Amino acid sequence: MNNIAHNYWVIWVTIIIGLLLQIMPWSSSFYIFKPHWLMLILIYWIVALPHRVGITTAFLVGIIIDLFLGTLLGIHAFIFSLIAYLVLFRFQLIRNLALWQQSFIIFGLSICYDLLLLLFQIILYRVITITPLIFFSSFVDGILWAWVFLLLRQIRRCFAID
Amino acid sequence: MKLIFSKSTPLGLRIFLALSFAISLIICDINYQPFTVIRYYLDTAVSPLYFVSNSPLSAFNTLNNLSKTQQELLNENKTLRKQLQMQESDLIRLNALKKENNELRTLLGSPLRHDEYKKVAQVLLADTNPYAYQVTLDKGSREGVFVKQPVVDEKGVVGQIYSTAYNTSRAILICDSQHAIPVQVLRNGLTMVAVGNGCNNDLLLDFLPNNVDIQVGDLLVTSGLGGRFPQGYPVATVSSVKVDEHDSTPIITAAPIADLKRLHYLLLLWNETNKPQVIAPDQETNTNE
Repeated sequence: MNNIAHNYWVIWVTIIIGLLLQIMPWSSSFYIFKPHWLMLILIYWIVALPHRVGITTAFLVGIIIDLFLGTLLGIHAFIFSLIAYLVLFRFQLIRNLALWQQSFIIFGLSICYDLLLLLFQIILYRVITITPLIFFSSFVDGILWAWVFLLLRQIRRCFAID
Repeated sequence: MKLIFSKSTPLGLRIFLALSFAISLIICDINYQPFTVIRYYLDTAVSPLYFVSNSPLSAFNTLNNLSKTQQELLNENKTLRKQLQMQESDLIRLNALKKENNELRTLLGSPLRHDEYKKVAQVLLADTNPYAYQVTLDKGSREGVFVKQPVVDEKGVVGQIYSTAYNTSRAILICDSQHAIPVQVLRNGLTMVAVGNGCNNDLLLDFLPNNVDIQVGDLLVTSGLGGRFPQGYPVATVSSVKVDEHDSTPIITAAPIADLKRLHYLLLLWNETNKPQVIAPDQETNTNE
């Protein structure tokens, strides 16, 4: 038990790194390809350790990202908790899929994320500025997932987080 | 997580609680004024991370500066000096013209124009959210930045301050669909409002008379109406003039002059009345980075 408590901070370190990647300045011409780093990292931890990282963690991370992006407090918290729920609901299924099949699920979740953001935009501001370009970043998410997964699994084994 | 919920708490209940809490937060953030104070402190708490996330870029810039050869620097210095000379020669008569303008205004009984105080701010974060166009600046309420303060760059108007924290602030760009700015046509003084339409599109002009005299290429400057933006800063050039086929109202779009996608250094403006104490008179003249 003691050992487990020791390494729990690694999860938060990866989340903070994800946050930094997420808010890092990004060239505007490649901006549409910007992956949702934080979402990928969060999904990994939920799939790997559903008893440690769950809806509450996702909610907190959402609040933090809301603060950074200047969106209304709660929008990303809503989206992240919902995504966490979707993943938790079927985490055993996701775990047993091949990596490329997981990529498709990530692609779907990422589109979900963008559409929810758009939905909030429409409800709160009553403006529609949809571009089909949001799907590029979801596509990048799907491709990146394999690397994120392998890297984080390495980290998890290294620190024996359980 | 374990502190609040035991393992046996059903998933459905947890998600229900999380979502309802998120929605109530959103509603609070929209409706309740005290929330802006809470946000101020939360923003201040998280702001050091902006500087961390910006550090690779600034390190890269420093490296870039270090790797410049002396010859390059000399050349750069020479061109800058030439530029400065040209601009100073343009400015020679400015003081005389300013005085003359103020005298004429006194004769007409219209309010005098005052000098503005400027301060350079660096963009820490151009927003990643494709639905809101905001930038985070490295100056906050400590430096006297206030909400609704105009933000310009060397070409034209960029936007206005939207929220502040202790040492960072957030500006909304003129192309955000939430933003509107009162403008006038420089050529004939017609006033109208330029409304943002997303940064990939041009601004839309609103509150137009039906037979408006406006041409493609007309320069739009701030009209100073509403008192938020000082008069005369360039905002946009008219890019297309069309007429709606149904009710023959003109549809006019204008392209922003400032390059809103590549913002790096911006200027914050103060006027005479709300100028902060921290700006010394010599500081606002030597603000070139």
